[in-house]
Amino acid sequence: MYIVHFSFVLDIIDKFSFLSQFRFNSYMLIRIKNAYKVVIMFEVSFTMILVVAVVIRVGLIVYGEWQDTVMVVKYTDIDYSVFTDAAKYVAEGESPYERPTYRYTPLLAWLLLPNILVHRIFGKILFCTFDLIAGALIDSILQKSYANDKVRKVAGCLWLFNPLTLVVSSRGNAEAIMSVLVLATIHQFLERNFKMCAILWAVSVHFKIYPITYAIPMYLALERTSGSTDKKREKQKTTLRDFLESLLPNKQRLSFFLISLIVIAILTGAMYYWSDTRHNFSPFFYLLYLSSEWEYGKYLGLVVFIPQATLLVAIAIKYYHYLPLCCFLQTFVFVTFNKVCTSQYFLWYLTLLPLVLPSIEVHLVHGATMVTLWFSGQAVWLYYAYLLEFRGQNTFVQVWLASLLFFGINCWILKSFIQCHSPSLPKKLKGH
Amino acid sequence: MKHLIKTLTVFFIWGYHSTGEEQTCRVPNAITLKREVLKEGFHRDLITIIEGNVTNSKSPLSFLLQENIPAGFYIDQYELTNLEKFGGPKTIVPANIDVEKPAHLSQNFSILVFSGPVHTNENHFSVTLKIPIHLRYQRSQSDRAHHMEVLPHPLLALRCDGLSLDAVDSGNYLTAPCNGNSELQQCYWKEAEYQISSPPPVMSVPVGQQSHAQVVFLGTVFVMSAFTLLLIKTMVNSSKIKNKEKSR
Repeated sequence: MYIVHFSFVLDIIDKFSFLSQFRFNSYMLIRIKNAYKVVIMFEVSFTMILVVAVVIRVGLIVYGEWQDTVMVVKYTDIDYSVFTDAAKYVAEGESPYERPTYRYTPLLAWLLLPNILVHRIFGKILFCTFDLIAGALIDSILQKSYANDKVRKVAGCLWLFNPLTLVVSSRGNAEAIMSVLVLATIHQFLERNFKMCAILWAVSVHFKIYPITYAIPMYLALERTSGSTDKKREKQKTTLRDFLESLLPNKQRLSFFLISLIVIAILTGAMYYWSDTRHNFSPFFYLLYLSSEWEYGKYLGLVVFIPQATLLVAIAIKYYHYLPLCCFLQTFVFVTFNKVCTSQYFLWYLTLLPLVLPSIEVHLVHGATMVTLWFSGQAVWLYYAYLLEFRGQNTFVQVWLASLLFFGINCWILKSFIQCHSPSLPKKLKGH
Repeated sequence: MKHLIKTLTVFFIWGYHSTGEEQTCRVPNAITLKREVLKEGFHRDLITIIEGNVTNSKSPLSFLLQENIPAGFYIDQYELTNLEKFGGPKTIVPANIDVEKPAHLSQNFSILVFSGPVHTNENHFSVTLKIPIHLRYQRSQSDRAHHMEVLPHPLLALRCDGLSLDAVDSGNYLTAPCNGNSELQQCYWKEAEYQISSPPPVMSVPVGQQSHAQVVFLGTVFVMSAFTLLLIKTMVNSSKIKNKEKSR
């Protein structure tokens, strides 16, 4: 039986610390108590990780510039042109929404003003810098939870050298801003700096709507952190009445959401909802496309929100005491059950994956199956979507079936995360 | 009286250009147009080839295509701007074309495609203009799997580069930007007749079929409910296991 067991990884690394003179001791397979355990050994300094991360990013940005000038097919993301055009309108004193398909906050266009005033490449450097900041935040959050160099390094590498992260930011997609905002929110919450957390959370909701679901676990967890001891809390839940009482607002909860509300109100003048019926990964796409012709079709858009909302609330109630896992599961559910889903949405939960991976105890075969199925599900969908979009074949039914398959795979992965999450593990890992 | 003034003006301009070196700009007698659509699906390349013969022309001709694009299509002006850097034609596209809206929520529009100066080779000229054109999503239909979208033939106009007015002869003139660089500088363009052997190109795009509605509705609802319940059950059960572990 192959098991990736983080606590064990740490033990082994400690025992074999003499190997650390060797910079990359990649893999080891060791038999202990009738079980083979795979050990991933990283003995690299934080500085070295950072330097390599920066070098790769600079390389990708330079490569992108080269491809853009030489080839008709651009390396740069189409959204980057949209942001830059929007920044140009802002520089000329006009609204960024003059640019068609710009459906982001005006803050982004202002943030990218140097694209016009200094150089077009500024935004990419900014987004890649956000990548590095996100890496630092992941490290800092894990330091609070596990306080072990090795786990933090592996998790940091998972983020900084994730091909999706690398490509998305160097192509000029702004998702890294969301990564930083969401991670900073969790970080400030764990730091118990609730005022700063409220502001960060509000800004992230203003940028993209999905972190709004974190409101529920944070609301519930604020009760716990506001002075009542664990014993009291357990007692409180003995009767339904006590449970309901524990849901009542308190000073901390009120101030948190008041601050957030003010920030959101200031930032968000107009909401920009996007309803695009063109094919996407969502299992609802074909149903919503067909139902747009039905008399009561528009209500279906509200009905499909029910499973998403049910699960988001259920996850919040069950996992609010462990915020990183809770936010991860909520984001995963939000994306999987959403009406619209494109591949950049995957980055929303991949941002939080390094935070929860250390507390997931999973067989190597199981883990490998999850990764393989996740990619295969997308590949099947992409194949039929390609036939539809670029070959003009009517594969709507196949695209729909592929989206259901991918949806099933994602639900199975979610189920595995729920089952394989071991809340006791973080304590074990706390080496101090 | 009005007609007389117009004629005099035309003669005056013609006379002005005729002074000194003779600057004739002959209108080609037979222009042929060829239309071709490359690629399949929602993203196509529209190729227009303008060919003809012209004698004794001192100044190179420029052509203008006015494409009247039905609501079923869209043009991405930012894509065209990018292609210009790689030898694509200059174009003038109305601002704010929504590239995401489905066909039934969109409107017709026209674009101008400029050939730039076309040089003749032994009195023959040939110019190829290639622009990417995209098809919009169509409303779902009851049984047909494809929707056919027809792109009408363009309006062709020409002028001589460097001359503010081309050869004076009968025919319709229109005022349009001189080139794709700026809309401020306007020129007279002579509408040109052309021969085209092929019918207007027809492009087909897949559409959703209402005949699938029942299966898609039931299938989506079933899969959605099943997995929602499965996940809720998993969450409830996972706490039971942990409680058991605790009680041990």
